[in-house]
Amino acid sequence: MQPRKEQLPPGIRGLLVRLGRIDRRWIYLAVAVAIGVPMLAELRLPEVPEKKARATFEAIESIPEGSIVLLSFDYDPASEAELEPMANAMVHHCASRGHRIVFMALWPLGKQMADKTIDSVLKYYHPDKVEGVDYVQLGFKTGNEGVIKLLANSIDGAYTTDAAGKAISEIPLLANVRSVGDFKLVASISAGYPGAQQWVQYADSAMPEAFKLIGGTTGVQSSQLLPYFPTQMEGMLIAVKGAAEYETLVTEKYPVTESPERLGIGRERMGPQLVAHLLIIALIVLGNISMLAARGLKGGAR
Amino acid sequence: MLQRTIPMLILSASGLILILAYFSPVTVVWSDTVVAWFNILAGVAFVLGAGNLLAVNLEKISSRRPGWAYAAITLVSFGAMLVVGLGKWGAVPNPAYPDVHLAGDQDSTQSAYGWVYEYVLSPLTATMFAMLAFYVASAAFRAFRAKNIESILLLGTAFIILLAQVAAGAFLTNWIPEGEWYSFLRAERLKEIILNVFQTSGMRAILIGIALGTAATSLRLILGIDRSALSKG
Amino acid sequence: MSAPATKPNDRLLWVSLVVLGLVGLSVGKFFRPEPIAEAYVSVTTEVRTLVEEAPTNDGSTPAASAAAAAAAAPATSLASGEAAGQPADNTKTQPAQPKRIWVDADDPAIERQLKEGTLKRVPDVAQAVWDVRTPIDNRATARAQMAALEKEAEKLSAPTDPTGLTKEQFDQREAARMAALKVVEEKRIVSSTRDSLGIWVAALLTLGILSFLVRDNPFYKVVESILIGVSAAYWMLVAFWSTLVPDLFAKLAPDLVRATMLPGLAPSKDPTQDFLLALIPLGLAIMLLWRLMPKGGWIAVWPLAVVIGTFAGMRLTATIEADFMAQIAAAIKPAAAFTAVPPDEAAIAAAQAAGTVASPGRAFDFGGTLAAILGLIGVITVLIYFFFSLEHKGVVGKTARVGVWFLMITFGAAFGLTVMGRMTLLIGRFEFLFGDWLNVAK
Repeated sequence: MQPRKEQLPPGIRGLLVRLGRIDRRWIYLAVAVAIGVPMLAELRLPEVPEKKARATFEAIESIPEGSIVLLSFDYDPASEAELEPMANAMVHHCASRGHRIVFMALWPLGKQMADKTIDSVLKYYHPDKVEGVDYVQLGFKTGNEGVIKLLANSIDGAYTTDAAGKAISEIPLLANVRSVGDFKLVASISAGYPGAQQWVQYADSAMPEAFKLIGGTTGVQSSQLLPYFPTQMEGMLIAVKGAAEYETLVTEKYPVTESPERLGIGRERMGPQLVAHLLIIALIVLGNISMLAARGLKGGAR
Repeated sequence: MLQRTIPMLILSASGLILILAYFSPVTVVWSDTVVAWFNILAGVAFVLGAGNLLAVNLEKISSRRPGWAYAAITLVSFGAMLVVGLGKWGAVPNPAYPDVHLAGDQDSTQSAYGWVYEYVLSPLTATMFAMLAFYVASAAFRAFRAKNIESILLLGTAFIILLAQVAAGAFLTNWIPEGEWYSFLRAERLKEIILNVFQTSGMRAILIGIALGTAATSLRLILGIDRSALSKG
Repeated sequence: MSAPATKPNDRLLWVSLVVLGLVGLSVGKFFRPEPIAEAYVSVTTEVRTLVEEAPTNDGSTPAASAAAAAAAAPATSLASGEAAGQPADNTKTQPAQPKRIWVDADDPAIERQLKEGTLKRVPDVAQAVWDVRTPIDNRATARAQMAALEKEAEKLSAPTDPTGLTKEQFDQREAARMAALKVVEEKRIVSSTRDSLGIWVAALLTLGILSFLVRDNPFYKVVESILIGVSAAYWMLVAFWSTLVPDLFAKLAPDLVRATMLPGLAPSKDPTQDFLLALIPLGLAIMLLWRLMPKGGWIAVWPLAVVIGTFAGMRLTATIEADFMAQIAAAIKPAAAFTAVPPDEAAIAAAQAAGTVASPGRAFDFGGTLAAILGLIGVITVLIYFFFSLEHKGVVGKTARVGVWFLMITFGAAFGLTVMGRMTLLIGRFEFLFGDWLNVAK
């Protein structure tokens, strides 16, 4: 039996109620337009670095030049859009400071993420860096926090070779690095589990004074990590906003002339982000107005 | 005995070794060995997962259940990827050992494995998660209703964070001067207060609760009080 | 919930999408100078030659002498070849196999060593030659570099004009030109069909997933099946190459693994012990995989017990330390906040008189203290809310209510940050579609 056709109130009220029941595909289209148009129009806005980005910047600046740092790429292509900008900026920052970088990954696809950053930033802006002496790619190991636990005691407990198959004992950079405590700084660019939280729980807790721990996280995971800042984590970058602020700080102090867009990806993404956020707010407000307009109707407010 | 008691003893022993190593540095070698085995088993779990996928899809095809053609596509993709990845098709030879084919690097797009990663796996994974943006917008429109004080608090905070995380927040509140008692109303200051005071304290309490729960569950498992983890199925 | 769109509207939508797509692609192909799905790679050729260290006068090789000199044990006679007390090494101190390595013969240091005779080319072994293709991100730069290289090659291909030159000068210039031409020809930047095809495949797969937004359709299902198959295989391969080969198989059969997969594997200090210890995870791995068998799958509970026990043991201590004790300390420590202020004049004068430097003073930070106390109230009220053993009535009820408010603010902020995260992921995909594929955005 066909349901009786609902009588909608006339005028604006009726329009608002109808809007509240709009097919969700129009909303999808609105999202696509809100992101596509600013992207094509190349909307760019300046970023003012705030406390957490500054703390992260200071953490890397404050350790002595030429220190050995560990960068753990704990994300995959699903979060690449948020985390690649901060990874790029961090690698450029460390390399510009003369720090020697050890790359590793706790996610299966994290090694590829690290390789991408090495190729597009480290080899491009710092071609003088020699693999094995200035940086090394250890790659991925299964075990999640088990890997961190082994690293806390000895590097060669977790890694016997680097990602290319060279024995750890033959890598000059790791000659004096016995465990994670020998790094001056550990950075986890993380999208979830395992990630920065596990680094706090298993590495920082084991040796709190040995190294500085900084984390770059996605928006989703950032809530979980806030309680650790600033006591257990010295720096934290939250989502693409944190990445954009950190990029600003890094490129101000260590500018590049060729292909600067590699270190500006975060700032590029903030333009469409602005419009997308305004759209979400507009949608929520519209939804609530429609709810108010539908109050008292048969079927009630939705 | 074999199905319940021995696994229980193994579980307790592994757990106790780990806990002991925390307090006594002498036993760290044993705990490192157990953790190394754990890491290897974590790797074997990936193989098990792949094997399970094979079994499920083969069963679907053989019993001709609806949608079995998709199962066939899954298996073909799986098989092709496996062959290409195990044989290191097109891998760039290792400069130090170019005569050992399997020592080559297959992570660049030059090799078949790297090509599939870059142009199939990476975009697919990324797009699957990018779809959530659409769902979040749709959900926000349909379900986010300010009906009582709690939901108004939730919505209000969400609005402040959404605005403060982009240039709109600064644009709207830049006219408020710094250094006054009401400067906290500036978007970035409000955001800091919400994140550092309210969200941190809420998440801190949740974290403390989770820690207590984790510790209690771990202890129950190690002491054998909770046997559900090892039950059949 | 709105009723699903009727079929005629869907057909219209699909048709209009396809037409729009075709129109857009044609405009792209015929009216824009930059092609769709451009990809460039720079190609370099690597050549490696197998050389061996030439033996020195006393019959041992330089590497063996170095190993003997570095040995901590008292010096053993090289001639007698006693290797006892020395760590196991590939090169023994006997007149046996000289160390062979693959080297880049164009490297000046290697060239010198070959000339001097410390390195000798191994006869009857062909050189290893292969191309390395490195993708170039910035297409504008790649195009410019390609054009510049072509121009340079054209310029260098023209033979030197001999007018007004002596034979010697002419020969010199020709040699320089040929050398420069060789360098330019080796620096190849080519347009990569393989990668262009890849970009097309990636774009079609992306659109396939996005088509689910319109409605569930076979194209989406096919793409989803491909994703499941490929990712399962990929994860298995990553686990195999990164963990199982170096950590399990390398201990069980080190020589086989060194010969076929990991030639750089360092020799073990105690191979027998490693082998015996590795039998345990091998056994556990077989038990775990037995789960797939029709009979006896229950044995998988044993390795599962190891996993759960280890996990529980690790987590117990870690969460208590990092998530319980450290969090409580962080919640109560900054209960009264002070800021450092520069020392005032009186303090400076007093310090100068005493011959020391004035230390900064402290000022009570009202904002910081308020924040710390609010934070502490937040932690306590939320914990009370989660304490369900007490009935939420009276004072407890009111405190729990305050806790709920703190939680609502927490979740509101989490929602805002989640939206930000999700939107960025979509921005990333659009950057690929508009930038890498359609080449309309940078």
